[in-house]
Amino acid sequence: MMNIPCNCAKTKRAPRERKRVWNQAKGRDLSGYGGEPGYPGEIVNETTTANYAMIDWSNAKEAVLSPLHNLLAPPGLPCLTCGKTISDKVTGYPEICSSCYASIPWITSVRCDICGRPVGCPDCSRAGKEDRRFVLNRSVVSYNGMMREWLAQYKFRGNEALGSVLARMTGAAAKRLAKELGERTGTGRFYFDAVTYVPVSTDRMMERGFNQARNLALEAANVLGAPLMELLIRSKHTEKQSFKSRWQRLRDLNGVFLPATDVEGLLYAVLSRRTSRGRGKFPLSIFASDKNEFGNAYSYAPIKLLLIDDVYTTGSTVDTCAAILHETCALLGRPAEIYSLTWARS
Amino acid sequence: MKASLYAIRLEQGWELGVSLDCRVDLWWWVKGKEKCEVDSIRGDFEEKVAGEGEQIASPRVLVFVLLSGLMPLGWAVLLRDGFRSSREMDYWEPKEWMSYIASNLKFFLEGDRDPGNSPRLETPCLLWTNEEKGSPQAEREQVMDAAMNWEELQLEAARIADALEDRSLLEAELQQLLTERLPELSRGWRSAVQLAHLQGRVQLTSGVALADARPARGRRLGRRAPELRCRRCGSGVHRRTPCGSCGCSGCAYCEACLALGRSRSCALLLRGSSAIAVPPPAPAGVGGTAGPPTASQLDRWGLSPAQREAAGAALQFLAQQLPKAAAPEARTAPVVPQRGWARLLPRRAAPQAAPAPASPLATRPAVMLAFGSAPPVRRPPRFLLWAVTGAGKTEMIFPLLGYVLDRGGKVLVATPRRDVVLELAPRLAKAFPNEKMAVLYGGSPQRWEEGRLFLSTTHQLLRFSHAFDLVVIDELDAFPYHNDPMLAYAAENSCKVEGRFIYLSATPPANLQREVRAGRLPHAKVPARFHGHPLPVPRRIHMESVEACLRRRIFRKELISSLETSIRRGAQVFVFVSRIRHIEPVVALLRSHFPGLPIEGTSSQDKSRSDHVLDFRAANTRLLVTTTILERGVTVPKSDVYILDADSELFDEASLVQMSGRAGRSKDDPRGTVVFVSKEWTKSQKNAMRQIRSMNVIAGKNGFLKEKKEAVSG
Repeated sequence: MMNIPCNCAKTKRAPRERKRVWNQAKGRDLSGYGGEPGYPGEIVNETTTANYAMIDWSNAKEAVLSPLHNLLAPPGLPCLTCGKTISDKVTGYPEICSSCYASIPWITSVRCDICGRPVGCPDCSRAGKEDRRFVLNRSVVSYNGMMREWLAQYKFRGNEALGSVLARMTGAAAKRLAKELGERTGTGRFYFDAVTYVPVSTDRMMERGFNQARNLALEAANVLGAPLMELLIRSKHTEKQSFKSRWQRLRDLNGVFLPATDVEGLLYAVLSRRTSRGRGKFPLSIFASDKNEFGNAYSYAPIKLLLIDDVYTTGSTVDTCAAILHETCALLGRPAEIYSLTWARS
Repeated sequence: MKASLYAIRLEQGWELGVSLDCRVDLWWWVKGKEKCEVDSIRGDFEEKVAGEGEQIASPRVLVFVLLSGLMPLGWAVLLRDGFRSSREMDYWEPKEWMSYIASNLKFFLEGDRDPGNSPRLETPCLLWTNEEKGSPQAEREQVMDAAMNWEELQLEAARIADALEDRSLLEAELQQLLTERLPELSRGWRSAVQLAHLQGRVQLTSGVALADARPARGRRLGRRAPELRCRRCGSGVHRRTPCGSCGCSGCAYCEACLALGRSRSCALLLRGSSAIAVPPPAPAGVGGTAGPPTASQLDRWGLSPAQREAAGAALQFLAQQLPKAAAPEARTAPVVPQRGWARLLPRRAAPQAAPAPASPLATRPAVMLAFGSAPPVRRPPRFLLWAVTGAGKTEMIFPLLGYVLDRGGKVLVATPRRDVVLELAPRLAKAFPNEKMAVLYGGSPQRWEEGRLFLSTTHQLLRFSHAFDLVVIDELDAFPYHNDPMLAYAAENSCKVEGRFIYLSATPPANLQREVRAGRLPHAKVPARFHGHPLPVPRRIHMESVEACLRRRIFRKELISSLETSIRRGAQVFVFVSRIRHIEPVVALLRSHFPGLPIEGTSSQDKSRSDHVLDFRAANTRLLVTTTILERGVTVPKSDVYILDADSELFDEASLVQMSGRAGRSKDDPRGTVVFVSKEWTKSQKNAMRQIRSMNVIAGKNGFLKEKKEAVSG
């Protein structure tokens, strides 16, 4: 007669605790490892003997009412980044609370047209234009302490739930980038032939289990409607970039990145995709014989690739990768245009 | 990570094994086991049976089948833990083994969103069969012997097993430990760990696994779906992501214990146990042959009468002998008749010809037993020291620690908060100058040190497994330990089965209080403070909510005059509010009421919080407006406490008692003022008041109070 779930009757909980426990208890049974596992003395709800003295009716009421209460008014979820209960949701980012969202340092206006810095940039003017092998870089946020913490949570701690938030931010920025480039070229729309990303080494992959840049690129590719391609591999494992000086970074990146094994096949796929799109635009061409020629001529336009990484600091990683991509495209006899999009700009 | 999975046919039946280095396993089962057992494991047991040594030839492996050279560790562990030997396996061909594996991995394979991407199952291959000597197998044995320096590997395994003793570590943590303590092993640890595992000293499993490893036979109505659990922290696991490390597209990871490194389906989790050679006849630390505690053990610590009585009761609890534990039932492996692996074996090696010594099951090492699939049969006994605020709890645990340490036990003092750990460390070090103490917290430099006295935050307990004879948990009801099932699980796991728990609290959570009332939890109350004065009983001032007061920019006269009295008598005044956002305006309003008085406010979001507290302690600030962050662990001499919005739902009984406990803690000013300022008279306030009063009554009855007068409310 007393089938009261004993784990609910455990304690009279203050509402804030109830929220916490509700979050923890979603879809799982607390009794297995929490306060009261199978310890014979504590099981009150055995049907055999009814020891009335042991039943605390105030808790029994609680036991019945609190699940009902939770069902009717589910308490909010905790914010992924600050842990507080989300009171008002942000459109598009249901995992984080509005105050966390408000403190994201979005880069809304760029000062440096090349590297996408929101502040004045001495580096780009110093390096000289010929050196740079990518067209431009845009970043989603400034890399401040809070963003550093987010990325560390995702990348080093492995909190992959945060990954989807960062990916969505990157996706939105990819859309903005395409729009900006479209306005610049005057055609209105701008198509990337493919989206690719900075690879991680095999060791890192074994250790971490995922490539953060790939996850960001996946969402960007989704938003842009471009194919995601693994065009690069990382041949050796470098120490963390963050501990090195600018010169060391440039030196150490030498020979780190290589084209992926099937890169030519992938790039051919890009080209054929583009020709088919070109054909789609002119479906009623009467010059049937010119069609092939037209397609060829069209495909001599540079291959436009979007390269994704998590953080842009000096641009050395992006630049090295861009160099490799240029070389590979040159093998196919095509010029390339590399655009870079990173999640953070330090 | 990935690991190998193999099946072996012993005389008793089939076993599955997970391996980090298959060479070690093959060598072990074919040759090494006998050698090692004679060398080390048997110990004195061997002497007893020396006469019949011939018969106890350890079970030789008849067939060794490599089921998969590299498969996700989570799969391999699942298959191993859920394995049951059966007779028809003798006749299985690779195809049947594969279908067995596929059917048992259904849970994982079904969860794959993208089955094309998940790792393919390999075809099993036969690595070894037991044939007569002189066949090519003998040559292979020689090759095997030459492949590795086995003597050295045994030494390495012993060292790694010693380092892992009593710990529960993920692969990354193991590597940190090795680089710090055994740098020479940081490369070839896989082989050494594998050998230690085969010797039964290290349990090898995956970080996240099914709660019930054994697949259910048939479907029953209302049966719960298989559920993933983190084996380190015990939390349920819901998030599955593609993993580059094992190649699964649905590799689960635990979000609850991320802060201590990621535990996932394919993460290697190692649990060290003490050497099998030393089966504890009686618990080494407590109980057993340990003598009863004597008064002299209490004398050296200079305790007050109230402390002494409670510490004595706790010592009695420690000395109690445990009721004899029922021997864990050995899993009876089905004894299969000697049929051999008929079709895969070469024709001439008739399996029947294999020597069939009646090998006793007892010599089987426990390594192959399912790991952690069954819940612990019994929890270690618990004891609650319910000591009022300011009773001197820390001093009371010294005799208990001393008692266990004297008997060679390992003790741990855990507390939820890191600053408390740092504060306790010097006091413990002073009390036990001869004991090497390891202080553990996030980022502690002593993380991998050995010792017998440990002081740690409750989170660090996740790194131990059945390690301690006595676990003392201080501030049991404090955040984050309270209501966190993960930390409760960690604490329980860190204690030996025959060990003891002692909880310390001034305000035990409701479920423990209920157990105390029902007589199910042994406990001792310390109803009086060390100075022998009763606890200050709260007084109540009726006032509308702080919100309303701030709107009208005025506090009720009664409160102001009471505050004035407190300030006049030279007391430091704590003003607790329920919300951080109230601090600023309350400070401003109080400043306007008391111009010239140094008034500050602090909260968890205050960067210079410790400075503010220090200022307050040094009486540079006379009035401090704060939230529940200062409700415990703060001792300010000569202080009065005002709790605004005492009817707020954020103040439960425990925090009201704790906040009231800030007053009157010093010998010089034992009678502080405590005031609940509220509009409603809530149950929490009532209960807090009742708890304080009843403690005073008990103290009076037991004669712990210096002035024999009844505690009166204001």
